[in-house]
Amino acid sequence: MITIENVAIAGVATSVPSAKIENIQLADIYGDKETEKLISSTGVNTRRIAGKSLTASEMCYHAACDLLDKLKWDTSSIGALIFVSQTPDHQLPATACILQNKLGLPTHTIAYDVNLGCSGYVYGLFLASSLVQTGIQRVLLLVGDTISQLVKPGDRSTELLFGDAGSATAIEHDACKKLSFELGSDGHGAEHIMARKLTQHQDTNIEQSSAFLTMNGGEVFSFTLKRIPKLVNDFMAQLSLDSDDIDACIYHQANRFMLRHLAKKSKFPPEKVPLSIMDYGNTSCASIPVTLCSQDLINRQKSLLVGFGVGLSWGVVYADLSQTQLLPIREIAGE
Amino acid sequence: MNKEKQLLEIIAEILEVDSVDVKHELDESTWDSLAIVTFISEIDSTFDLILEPAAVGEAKTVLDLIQLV
Repeated sequence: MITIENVAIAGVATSVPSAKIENIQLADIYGDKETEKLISSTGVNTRRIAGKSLTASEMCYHAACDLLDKLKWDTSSIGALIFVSQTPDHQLPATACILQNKLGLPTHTIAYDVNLGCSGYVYGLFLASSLVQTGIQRVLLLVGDTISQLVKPGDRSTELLFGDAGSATAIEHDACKKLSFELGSDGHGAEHIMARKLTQHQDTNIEQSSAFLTMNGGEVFSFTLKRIPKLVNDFMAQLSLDSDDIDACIYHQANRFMLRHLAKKSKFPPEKVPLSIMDYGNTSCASIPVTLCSQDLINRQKSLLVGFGVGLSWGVVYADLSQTQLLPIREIAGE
Repeated sequence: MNKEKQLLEIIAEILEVDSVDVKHELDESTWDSLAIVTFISEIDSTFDLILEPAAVGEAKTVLDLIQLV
């Protein structure tokens, strides 16, 4: 366990595309019975889809503007910007640099991208907290994906599952707060969730359609069952806490079936495990902030945030979110 | 309830049929990826055992599944 002292999560804002897809509409493709079965298992009723004109960085930008406004943070007070995404604007440069300029942050801002998905929010919090520990007063963590653009039409294991979202989280020095982490990775299972690099035929310049997301649901489920309950239960033990002590456990919104199983394995009652997957789908690295901002958490002083998936990669953070500003989700229209 | 009877009930529920016997053959249309993860989840819940997905997917009959547990 790694504990970083003197750091707090000041606020979280999230934005999603205004375009909404009802999964039941896909019955035309998959048939009524199969569609109902998939909806029942994944739990996803509706998803927000960015389309071609709305990027992850654009959604994060709007969330950041809302958050800076709410917290009354002067842009000159921000020392670093981290952009966590698997769907950056370009292969290069880093989208974080583009966002630094767009947000009007000072040129002494440290800005970089991180390529992580399901565990990305927890990793982002760890990196941002580490920067605060070095003496930077305030860090902006922008986490978002437009995973729907990697989904192959007709792929039943992914098409009904993924939605798009962007988020902004404000992390700052606070002598009264701390964050504790446990993180890990196992590339041995990398192939189980993968979107291969786009390649080109040398003689035609025509892109091959090889970059679609592929997911081996059984292997991902097996990895999650083996890894995550033990991660969470051992982490609580290290903190001398048990599930009764925890106010809220916010899991990456992988799918509802899996989340219910994980909650049961760590002895969390349903009211302590908020779900956003029904309304927004699996929004990749943004699913934890989407859940924080869309669900009414009764008490959040002792919160666990748990990310796991693509990589394979995982992380859990224990945080006091009782004074964290959670903004309502904002809808963004594509151009 | 003995283990085999428990397993037969679990499998019948996943296949959405009233009952199955050990000779029941599994086909791709019913023993799909959803059925596989549901079976893995049920076995973990009931017997605290995490099965390998490939082995569950390769099962041809209910007996093959029972022998995994």
